[in-house]
Amino acid sequence: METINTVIFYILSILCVASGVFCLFQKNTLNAAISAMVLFFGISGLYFLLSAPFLGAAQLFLAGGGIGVLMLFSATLTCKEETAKSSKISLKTIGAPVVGAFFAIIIIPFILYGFGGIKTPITHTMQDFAAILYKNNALSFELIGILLFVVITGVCAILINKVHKIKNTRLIKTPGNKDSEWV
Amino acid sequence: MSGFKAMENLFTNLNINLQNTDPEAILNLLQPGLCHYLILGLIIFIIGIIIIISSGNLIKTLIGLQFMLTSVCINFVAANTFLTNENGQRGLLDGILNNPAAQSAIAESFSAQKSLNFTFLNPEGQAIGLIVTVFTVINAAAFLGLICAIFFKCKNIEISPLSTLKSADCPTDQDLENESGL
Repeated sequence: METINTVIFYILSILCVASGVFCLFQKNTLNAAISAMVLFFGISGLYFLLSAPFLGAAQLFLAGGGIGVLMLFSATLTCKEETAKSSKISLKTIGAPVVGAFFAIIIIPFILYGFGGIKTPITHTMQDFAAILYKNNALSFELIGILLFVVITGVCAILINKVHKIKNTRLIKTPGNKDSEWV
Repeated sequence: MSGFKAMENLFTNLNINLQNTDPEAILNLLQPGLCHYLILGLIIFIIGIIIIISSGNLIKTLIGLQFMLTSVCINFVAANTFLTNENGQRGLLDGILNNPAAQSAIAESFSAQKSLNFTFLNPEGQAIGLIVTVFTVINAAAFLGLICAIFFKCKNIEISPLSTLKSADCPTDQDLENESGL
């Protein structure tokens, strides 16, 4: 059981560090955002190894799903033609075999040792986790909720102002002018 | 302080095992412990700092910030898993509101069912990690909203042109030429 935990730890660590280094040297913002998502998925796997399944699941859908999708959306919305160019070296011919080998390395220990080998010997109940969250850390929990509400309201206020400005402008064609202009 | 003692023990054991060249001792060092997770967190933190310093793009700056916050999270959870508090209980802080007798009963019932040795873990560090994760999401949402607002106004999210802002107006090409001439 310890062997499998060690192997999975090193696989996930290498994945996290490699995706971080790839993000560091990437000029294309979209590729950097995707490599950041890969790092978040790797970190969530490490949380499962550390007997934190709830935090691992939260990391998956908050960081990998929420933040990753937000960053991808922003990258596609704000990209320019210069940044949209990918690197000259094409990784399509190398990427598929590498990913396949990586998947094979991960799946072989499960085939050899079965899924029973990754149980961690330390545990806690969700009741205790909820008790700690709502009793010991109630103030920080409430503050983070208020902060979330304030941030969402502020971002909506900033962007709604921009939408109103765009709605109030009209696209007209002036006589003697080939192009139409915003008024 | 237990984390620093764990680091010292790692290096002293490393010296001893290298002198003895015992393969089992070397393999024991490769078992993931607190030091391994702290070193991984340190590497991710340094990568985040380098991304923030070297990026010319606001979105990449945000990605570097996310890396730093994620490394903080992994350090909290790893310390919670591997350290023991004053009561001899695994966890980051004292389990004030937890009943040790109930915890030992739960651990024994788990052990009886799964034929493994279970010890109870106080998930205080995981709660802190969850709060930091939620703060990371909040940070990303606010940052990305501001990035979109800046892009709608200035059509640019590069850092160096935006740093020349002297008023509420976006820098024009003439402003950028004047700045480069200085």
